[in-house]
Amino acid sequence: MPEGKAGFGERLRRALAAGTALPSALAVASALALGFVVIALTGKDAAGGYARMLDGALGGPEALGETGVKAAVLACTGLSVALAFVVGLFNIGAEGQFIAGALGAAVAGASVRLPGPLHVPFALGCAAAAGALPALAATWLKAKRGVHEVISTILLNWVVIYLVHDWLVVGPLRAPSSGANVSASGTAQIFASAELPRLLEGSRLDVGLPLAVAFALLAWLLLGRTALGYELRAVGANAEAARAAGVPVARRLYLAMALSGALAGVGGALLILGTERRYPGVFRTGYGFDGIAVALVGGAHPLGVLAAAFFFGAMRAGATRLQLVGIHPSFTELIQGLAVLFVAARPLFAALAGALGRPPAGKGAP
Amino acid sequence: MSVGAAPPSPSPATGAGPALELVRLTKVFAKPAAEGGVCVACDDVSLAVPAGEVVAVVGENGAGKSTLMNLAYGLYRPTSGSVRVGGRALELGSPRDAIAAGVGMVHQHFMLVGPLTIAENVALGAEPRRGLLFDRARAERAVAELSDKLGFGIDPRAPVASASVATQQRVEIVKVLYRGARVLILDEPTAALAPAEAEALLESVRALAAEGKSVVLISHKLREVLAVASRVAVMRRGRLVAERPAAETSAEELAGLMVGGAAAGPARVALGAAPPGREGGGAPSSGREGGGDVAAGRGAAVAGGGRGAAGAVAGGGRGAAGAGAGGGRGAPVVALRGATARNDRGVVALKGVDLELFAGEIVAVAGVDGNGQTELAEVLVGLRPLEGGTFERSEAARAREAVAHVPEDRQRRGLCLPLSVEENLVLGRHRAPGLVRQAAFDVVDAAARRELAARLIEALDVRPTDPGARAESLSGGNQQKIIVARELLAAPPLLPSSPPIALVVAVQPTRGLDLGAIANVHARLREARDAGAAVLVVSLDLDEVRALGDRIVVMAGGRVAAELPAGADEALVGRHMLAGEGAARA
Repeated sequence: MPEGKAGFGERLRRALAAGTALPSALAVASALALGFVVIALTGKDAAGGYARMLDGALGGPEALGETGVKAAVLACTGLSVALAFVVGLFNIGAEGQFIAGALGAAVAGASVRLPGPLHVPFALGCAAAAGALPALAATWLKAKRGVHEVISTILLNWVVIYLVHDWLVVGPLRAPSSGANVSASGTAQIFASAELPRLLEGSRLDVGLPLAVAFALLAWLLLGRTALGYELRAVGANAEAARAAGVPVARRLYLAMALSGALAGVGGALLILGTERRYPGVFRTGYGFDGIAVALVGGAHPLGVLAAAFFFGAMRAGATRLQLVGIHPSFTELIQGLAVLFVAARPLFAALAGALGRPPAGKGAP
Repeated sequence: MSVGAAPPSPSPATGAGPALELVRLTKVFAKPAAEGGVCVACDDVSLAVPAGEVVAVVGENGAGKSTLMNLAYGLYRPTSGSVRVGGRALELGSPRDAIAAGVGMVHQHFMLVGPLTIAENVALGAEPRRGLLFDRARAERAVAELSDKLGFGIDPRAPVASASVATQQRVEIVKVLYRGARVLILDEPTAALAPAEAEALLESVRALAAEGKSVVLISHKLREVLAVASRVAVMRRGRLVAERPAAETSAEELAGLMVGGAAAGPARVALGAAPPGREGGGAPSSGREGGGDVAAGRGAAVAGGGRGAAGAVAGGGRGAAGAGAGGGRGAPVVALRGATARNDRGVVALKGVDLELFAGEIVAVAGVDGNGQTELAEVLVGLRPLEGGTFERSEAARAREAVAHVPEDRQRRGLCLPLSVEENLVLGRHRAPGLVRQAAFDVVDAAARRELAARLIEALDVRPTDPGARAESLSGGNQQKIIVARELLAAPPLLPSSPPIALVVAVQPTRGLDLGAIANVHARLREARDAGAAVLVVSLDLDEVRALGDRIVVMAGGRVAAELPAGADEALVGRHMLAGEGAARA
């Protein structure tokens, strides 16, 4: 009965690691159903709202493009959180890493002149490095000073946010305003060579989406098929046993967190290089925090994260359409929140099912 | 038992009849269809445990002993049957009701909270209060009282994490008594204890029975069972196959019943039986010690543990037989000189150890738990730095994969419980060229890994045999088999691309295993020796030490107290164990 020794966080982590697609799909369906009921209870046209939302998310190239762009970014931040989960770390700093990466991409895209095929990879690389930096700082604090990564990553979020928004973007990196463009604020516009190529006529869909899908596939291969990924999972499952087996645990933690931060940073780059084209003066996105929700709903599995990113991306894309029938767009956030809640409550559902007479799989909770 | 604190006190059972009665219990687990759909872990078992008696339940790993006890304690809900305590039927599947009725269970794996003190652990969930506050003083007094009564000598204020395994075992017993248990279920209580500690524990069990408590003792150690129980129930494959008064049976008969088929019995009981051409130790239950061996052992016993003496001992003790079989002792593999090291609590645990291990020999380390054996093993496998002295290794023993390590704490250090059996079977050898394609980013060769896992599972008889099962779903004994299989056999010839094993460090390698599995593990250790590895086995079980060791090293107080020849007299080993400073702790 080894489970008796596991703390709550550990059991939550295991429940997530054990994620199969079905419970998450059920959680999403339940959230949509309950959201429908709530909207109906407020006296609005829930059916009409859902139809508009669906249209805004999936109806036609433009809507699909919006969903795809958002899903790509969310897949990156979701993979970022999931990768840290694998080694047993909770990276709440994806938001700060996302912002650092976005700024890195904006600067790389606007300050260097490179031929097209090189500029985008260069800017993505800068974003990855900028995102990895705060994540590595948090890991270093944990390894050297014993600071819990939840605390350090949360606090580093605010360090990055204030540093970027309240100083760099309005100060040293602010674009000199030209006569023709007085209203624009933020950093300088990136060169055309750094823009992500668009894929679909009549939509903003760009190569960010195939890139994000590739990242998810690579992460899946890394974790499931390589010795390195096996070591990362072993470290997350039992760092002490991994150490005894000769796995360099500290180096694996640094590597996982560097990759985690880099993915969040690349997520920021996709948004800058694909749609914003500069680091805007007002940039409140929450893609990094949503990455936590995406990782949870996706069961911390790379392919699950990809699916969850599409769900969250579709909700974001469809949100504005709700207003057409007088429903506040924040209802989509309610539905997303419910989905996370249902996923997190999975052990509860399992326990309920056990109490209702089904023979418990391993043991009854004492 | 009246306690100073206010534990939930069950209403005393005044009626006669059995204190605990299991009536026709059956438990069926669902299993993957490929394995037959269901697994009957417990099949129509009835057992009565009268007040004031000790009833032992014996059986091999997976015979259903633990399942039966989990049913009695309400952790599992039986498929059919009932549990009665003092004549009252318990609510099924409710540990809470079982506890309220006075049933207490001490699990094989301790359920303790490391950072809390012993008193806090004991009181957890049934804390005495003063107003709204936890009455720590009262809890500590209650624990001290119970401890004194049983002669446990535990300090209620010490953190559990710093207590030895033996002390943690006692804490678990105090915990159930504190809750007013009248029926105690002890699952393998002496598995991790040294002989003296085990003897003390059995004494406490007798004292509990004399006080009117009922005790169910699950054990593999038949001698213990016969010494303390009044009746013995034997389980095999989920069924209760026999029940005997302890006075009317023998270890041989019980072992035969456990493994089934009288023919299989004697052969498997003789754990220490030496392979042909090798002299082994005495078989534990048959107690056959060659008179000549003992005499030689006595004559050559050198308490100083000096190098020269060790050589003399090996020569005198093993004689011609040692040299004649499998090449015998070869070149030195590791050498510790004046080694000192601190334990996890920063206390110096090794106080100048001189020890050389040679290829082709098994050195068995005996000693009371906590006398430096753990730290010695950790130093040898490179997990604990030396503070002083030197540590030399032969070229062959430097590669990490050439060192097989069966750690003392299998769940903390030996396994990644959430990962699969297959993944655990390669942990540490997972980068062997035969298991990954080094040319292609170290991508795992899934087919090779699966084949190796299947062979390892077969070799050690790991159950269930599904390599995809999570390690945490296996019983403790089968988890141990995973580690032994990996450390000793995930090497040439099964894994030719890994370097041959040069050094084996096995701490309590057979903890919690049944007779058949113990014999298997011992055979694997001897195979490793015969293949040229230097083998160090740390054990708290003197039978095991004497059965395996080509040379016996006794540790006491962080030093080598003696080096003795193979099969040295048990009493002699025991005397040296208690000779050092460590004896004060025992």
